[in-house]
Amino acid sequence: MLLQLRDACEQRHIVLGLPLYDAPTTHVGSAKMDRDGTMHWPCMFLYDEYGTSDFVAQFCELHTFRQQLEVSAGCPVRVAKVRWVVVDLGSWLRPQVVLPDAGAPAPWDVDGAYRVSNVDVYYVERATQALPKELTFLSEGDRRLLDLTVRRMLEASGLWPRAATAYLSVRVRWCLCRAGGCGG
Amino acid sequence: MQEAAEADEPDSKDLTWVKVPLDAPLLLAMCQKHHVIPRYPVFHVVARNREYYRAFYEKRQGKIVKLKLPQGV
Repeated sequence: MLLQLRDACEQRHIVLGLPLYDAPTTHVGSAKMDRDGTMHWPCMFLYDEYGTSDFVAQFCELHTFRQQLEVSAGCPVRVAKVRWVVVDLGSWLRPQVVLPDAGAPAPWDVDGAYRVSNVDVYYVERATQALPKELTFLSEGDRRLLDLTVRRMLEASGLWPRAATAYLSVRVRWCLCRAGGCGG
Repeated sequence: MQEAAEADEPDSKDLTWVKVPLDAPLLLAMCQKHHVIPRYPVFHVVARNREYYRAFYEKRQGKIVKLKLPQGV
């Protein structure tokens, strides 16, 4: 399965890199592929104005941003059933619409401005350092090796320890969860 | 809220921001040449017609490009 995901990314010209943000590590997981060969990705939406975020556990690669952000009733059942959002990056989960166009706004949206019909979505080019294909979608054992490899790579490029902070933070939490420390 | 726009990490000032049409599928945004996915895709959402939006745009003048949808989408 891991090799399948790697190959699927390569076919799609998707480049994976070092993590930038802390996320609920028990649910970061990785991309998944359904029987049709369609990929579903965990995805983070950042609302910089309010310093908050939504973490979507699975975002179908064929769905548009409008579909993902608006009322879930318009989405296929397959995705609606698994579309969970972590609010405030806590450890609890609940299903919810991300940015409803009608009805109650998100709890943090005090002015009710963040409606799907009133937002722009951006990504940042080259926001992080790309990883070689072999270092993506790793098994648990290989992840340990990744720690060492990433450190050497960051040291060589002069990014250690700055860029390593986020990476290690995610890794530490991931290890704690594996040890049962976070109940995940 | 304007301070929030100015308090972005200093390294971000030279980066290119790509505006993604809401009708674009996730895959289109992910497979762009210079889009390096930090383990999972991360997108910034900004509401229009707000002071924060104006500050956001002013700060990134010339650094924002629009992702075009292919014909027929």
